[in-house]
Amino acid sequence: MTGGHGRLVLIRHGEGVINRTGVLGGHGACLGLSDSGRAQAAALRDRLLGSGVLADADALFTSLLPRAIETAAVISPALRGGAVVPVRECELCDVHWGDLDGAPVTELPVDNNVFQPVARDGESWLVFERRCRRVVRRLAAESAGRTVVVVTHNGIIKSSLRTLGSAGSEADHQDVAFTSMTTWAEGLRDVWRLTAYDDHAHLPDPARLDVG
Amino acid sequence: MTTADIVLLQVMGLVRPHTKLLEPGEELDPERELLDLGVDSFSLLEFITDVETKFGIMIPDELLNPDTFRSTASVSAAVAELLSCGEE
Repeated sequence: MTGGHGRLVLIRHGEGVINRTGVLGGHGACLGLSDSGRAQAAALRDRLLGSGVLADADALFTSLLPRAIETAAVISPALRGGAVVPVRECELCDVHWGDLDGAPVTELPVDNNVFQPVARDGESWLVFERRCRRVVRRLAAESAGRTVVVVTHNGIIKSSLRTLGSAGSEADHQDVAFTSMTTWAEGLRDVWRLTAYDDHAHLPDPARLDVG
Repeated sequence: MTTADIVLLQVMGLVRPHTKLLEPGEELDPERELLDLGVDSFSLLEFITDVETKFGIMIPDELLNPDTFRSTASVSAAVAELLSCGEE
């Protein structure tokens, strides 16, 4: 049992090139941030530097995808003056698209079979959602008494609402904005309280897109 | 009562809260399809988590398929198999 004070801050990456071109950007196809994405990440960094809200961060994690890695690199000066070394984890990646990596978003299967992988060597929705829940639970445990910052993807952030909160399918209806922050605060007896969701006050235009 | 029978009874208890289409007091037929019982994709994940927690197992990704999760009986059979593998 812990006494609280831990924070888990989930940040969505900035807009990626693939978000702009409408393709599925996995391990092989992600081309990093777009110009807008770099500006969004810089706006978040400046906000964090100004407020000092993550100046005490103990750890920084990112997915393996360049748009998340670049976002983490841009904001890292606001975390202990850049002294926190980002740790990359595949568990934090977006859906593993398999053979659809790099394909247009329009090629995604439209059926609602949660067991069906999106493509050969890809993940099914069930496997992806379970991975999301597994990594969110683990990161929450690692955040006990600490401040852990994670740069990741829309699906994992929304899954945190179901894993640490009690949201159901309604949590899938609205994507979070690029570089938005979703913050969970540690309570007593491993209960986590959502203190900020989709916080993108540093952006004049949240520029929501539906993949990534 | 065999180990498989005990596992089935426990799995039946775990699936019950997720069966939106089963009337209160209505008997649960282990062969009835989970979809037919009203177990949707979100409650399916909760059910999987409940099963893993109850039996202290990790259901591998390759078993997350329609055959394993067709019915209470099929889930129970998979759990019994995983438990027996763990004892070897």
